[in-house]
Amino acid sequence: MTQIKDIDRSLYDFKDDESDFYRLQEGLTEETVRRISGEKHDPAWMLEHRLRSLELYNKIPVPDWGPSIDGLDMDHISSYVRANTDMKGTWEEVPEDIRNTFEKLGIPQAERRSLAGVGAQYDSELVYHNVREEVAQQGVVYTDMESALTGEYADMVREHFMKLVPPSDHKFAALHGAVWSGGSFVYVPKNVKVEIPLQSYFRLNAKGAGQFEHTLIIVDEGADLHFIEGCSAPKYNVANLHAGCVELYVSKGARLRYSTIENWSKNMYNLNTKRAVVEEDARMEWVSGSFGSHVSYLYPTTILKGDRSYCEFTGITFAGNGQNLDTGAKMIHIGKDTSSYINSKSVSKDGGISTYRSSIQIAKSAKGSKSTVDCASLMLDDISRSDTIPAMDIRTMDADVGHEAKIGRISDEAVFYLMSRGIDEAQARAMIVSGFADSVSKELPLEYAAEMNNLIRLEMENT
Amino acid sequence: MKKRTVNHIPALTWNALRVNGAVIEETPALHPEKTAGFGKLPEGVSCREISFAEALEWLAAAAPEEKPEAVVAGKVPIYHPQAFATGLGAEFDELLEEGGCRVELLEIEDNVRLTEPVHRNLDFEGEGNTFVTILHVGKNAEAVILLDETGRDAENAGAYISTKAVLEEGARLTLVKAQMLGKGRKCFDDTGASLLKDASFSFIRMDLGEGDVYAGVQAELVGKDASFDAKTAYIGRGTQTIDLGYNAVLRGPRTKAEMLFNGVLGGHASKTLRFTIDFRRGAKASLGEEKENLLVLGDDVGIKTMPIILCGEEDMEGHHGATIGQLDEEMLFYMASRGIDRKEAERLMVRARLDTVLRTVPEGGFRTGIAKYTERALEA
Amino acid sequence: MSGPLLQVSDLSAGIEGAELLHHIDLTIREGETHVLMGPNGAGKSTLGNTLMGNPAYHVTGGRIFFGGEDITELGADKRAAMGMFMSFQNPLEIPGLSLESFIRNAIRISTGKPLKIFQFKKQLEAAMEILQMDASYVERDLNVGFSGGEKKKAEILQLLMLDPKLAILDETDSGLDVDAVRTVSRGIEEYQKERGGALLVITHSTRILDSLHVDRTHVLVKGRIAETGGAELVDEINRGGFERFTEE
Repeated sequence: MTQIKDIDRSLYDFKDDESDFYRLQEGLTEETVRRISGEKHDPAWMLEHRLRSLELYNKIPVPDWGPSIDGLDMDHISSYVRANTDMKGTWEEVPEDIRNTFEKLGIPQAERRSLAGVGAQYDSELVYHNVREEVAQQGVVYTDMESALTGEYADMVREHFMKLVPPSDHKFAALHGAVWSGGSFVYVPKNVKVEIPLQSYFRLNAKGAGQFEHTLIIVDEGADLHFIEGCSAPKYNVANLHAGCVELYVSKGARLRYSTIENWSKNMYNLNTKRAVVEEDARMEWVSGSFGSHVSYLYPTTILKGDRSYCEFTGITFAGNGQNLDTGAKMIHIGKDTSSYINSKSVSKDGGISTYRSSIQIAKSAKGSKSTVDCASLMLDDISRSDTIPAMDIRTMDADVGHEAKIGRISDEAVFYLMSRGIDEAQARAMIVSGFADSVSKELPLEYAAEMNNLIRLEMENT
Repeated sequence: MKKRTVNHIPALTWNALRVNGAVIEETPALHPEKTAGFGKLPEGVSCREISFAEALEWLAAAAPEEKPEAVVAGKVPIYHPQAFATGLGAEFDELLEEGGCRVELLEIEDNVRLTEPVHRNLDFEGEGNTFVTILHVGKNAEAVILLDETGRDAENAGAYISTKAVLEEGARLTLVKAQMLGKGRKCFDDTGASLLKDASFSFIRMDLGEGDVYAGVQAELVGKDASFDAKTAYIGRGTQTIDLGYNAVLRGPRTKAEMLFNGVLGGHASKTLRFTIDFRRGAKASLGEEKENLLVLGDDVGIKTMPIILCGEEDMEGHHGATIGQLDEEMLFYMASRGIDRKEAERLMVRARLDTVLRTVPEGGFRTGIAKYTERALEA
Repeated sequence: MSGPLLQVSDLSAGIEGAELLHHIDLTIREGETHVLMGPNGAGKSTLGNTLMGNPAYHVTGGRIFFGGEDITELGADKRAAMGMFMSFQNPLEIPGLSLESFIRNAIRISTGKPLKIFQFKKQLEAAMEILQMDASYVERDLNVGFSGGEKKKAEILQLLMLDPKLAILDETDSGLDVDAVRTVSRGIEEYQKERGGALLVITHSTRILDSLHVDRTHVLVKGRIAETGGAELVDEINRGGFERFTEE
């Protein structure tokens, strides 16, 4: 048996000195929340929202069903760390050390090549934001969340902010509501098709910190957008927390694709909440790759509200040593003739735990609906775990629901076949895993697909 | 009245979905009076009555050792300790024990192969409404046990059935439970089995009655080459609740578990089905397969399904498939092209679903009886 | 001679918004055998399915008459009861329902009369003999675990048992080896010659036609009947393929 080594994380593990950064006291009190709000010059309703969320946060218990989050000590997590820099519009203005971080991650290069706009968040604040002129001219708004609160679209933001994911949803949604900071606001006007993707990149650099960015995207009627989100953090010995929130509104006849490659360091508690509501004849597409973090709770939820609305979710989760990744999707069918497709893959190795968890709910109103789930899991050794925990709740006869799940290992025959063609065993196994992930990687933009294959290769081979 | 949770799943999920277990607010009165018993038994088979406490002690010795941390490792722990694992779970055992139930211990000696099935009618018209049995199938022994659960419509009546089977090396047991209880009877039917090396347990369940049902099965495949095969058919109609929890735990190498659920749901009925294949580390070269086919014929139904696969072993293969819905257009057209209209096509399909399971029941009067009951149910 | 058995006039039809058949005229009289040939994607199966009333296909123009009655709006079960039959390219599988029970139910329901079991059994045996089907097939679940050839045989068995006036055979010979084609042909021959049944044979090869008497041949290209002729057209296609018909 070939020894499969852990990923070489040097690519993501560089860290910057945070000595001169402004840092709040650890723990979470009303005082902290008021201070954050003051720092951010929140409108009054937002301070109120934060305080209400804090109250809920203190009331709601931690989940009793998923991976254990005992390692996360909320009393000792500074909820707010901000780099000493304001947001910049060109990379040259971003402080050199932070810029270097993003250079290493390849963000400015990618922007020049193939992105319509980029936002880069460093710890709690957006440090860079830029939209291509031709895209801005189409009326597309892509800005940081703080400016959006007071800018031209303030009313729109207020109308939608945490309406899809109310703070009462669960403990970490409440936490997010209380201490959120940074993130992006995107508005695509009616019938505007954004030809090239917009991207946000989140980088959590500080030790023992939390990142609580809020992403709010509104795609108006008949419009079309692809949004890419990337996340990474260096490794510290202290637990970090990511409790972001993504709210997506896909209006009538619109289409939104939301792609994520998440590669947080393996001390991260990734308790992220993502939700979309899809109106008539609109289409939502999730593409999700989860490679990093120590513990993840991640289940993008889609509310198929409008008749004939459509959603597909394509995801892969790769759990290695020390990782407990609980991922999946939720689909809620409400409109008539709605359809949802879930295609999920997971790989477990080196004692990693991956769990596919999903729920499909089909309301009585969702006549003519269709839902298909296809999930496959691969076990690479016998010290790892892979669990599949789907739930379906159907309230109408006029629905067509199919569910397929498969679990297995790399077949010896397949390895032998490749080896008989002169490929060594490690490579053969890596090829098989890449092939297993193929249905996900082919949904990603080229350089992300390359990044994902790279991550798989790093995980599989000793390079 | 104490709330009890039965049919809890081994790995919890979102509480808001209300599928983590069936919460029973109130249970109809329990009558542990003596019932008819197994009657005359063939040679090599004996039956004696023991207390519930004695039974638990007897069973604990036969149960596999369970380490709490091995149960869905990595999740928030939800371990429910039970002397001998069953589908309905520990809280149902508690209910029986508190109700003063006695236990019949039916033992089949080593190497005894019964040529005729042992048939017992669980008649709920009588005084008692509890049937608590332990089946001990000796080494290389073979038996077929047929239980039909009957009773006319009644007001808030209970039916309490618990069957625990211990299969020694090479033992083969076929257990058939045909539930044909009338309206107003709430049926709790629990099954647990532990299988040693080469043992095989074939479980057939048909829920054809008109009352609410909570039925659970847990099979522990402890020994090498042990195999478990479960086939279940149910029809839900009226305002029935059907709540099923099946759990196959594969521990030994080369063990095999197969589960099939064929259901039909109409009227205002609701069903919850939780079924788990749990591959424990060490279950090398094991296989698990679960399949659900549900035909939906009414628009006011409630359907909850949780097909779970848990896995801590690399060398295994697990598969789950489910199709839920009404008859699809393609099938209807195929039928129609042979002159069969929608209504008739539905009847044929309902019958086909039930027949797939019914035909695995050993032939004879027992099967004919179920077939007749099924026909009557379908006519209605 | 009475009126035609099947009359299709100016029929246009398609699937999900796309029109695949345009202005088809076709007349089949009792006992006649018509062959419908054409390259892949010409719309052959669309015609078969539209005639049989597959709800996935929509008539966008024209009418279909069977035995003088307008059946354009009729459901497939009604068409079957009137004496139409179609053998499927991909017959469906039904676990729990045996082949015999399916046929018995189909006869009972479509004729609306109780079945004479003894007579039924005898007919079934005879039909299976012609198709060289093992007696065990009747007990097996409909098409479950059947090979491609066995499924096609089971379709022809249903044809013989249901004894329709017109049978549409949709690519019945596709995917069969030489022996299987011969056996299936024997069943179709029985239907054609002994029962005097009319046939619309949809095929893109000609193997199945070797042992059949052919009255008319239609060549379907891009949803239109490009040419109609006698049996000699089959030989011509056999030699030259569809090239002549597809040239613009």
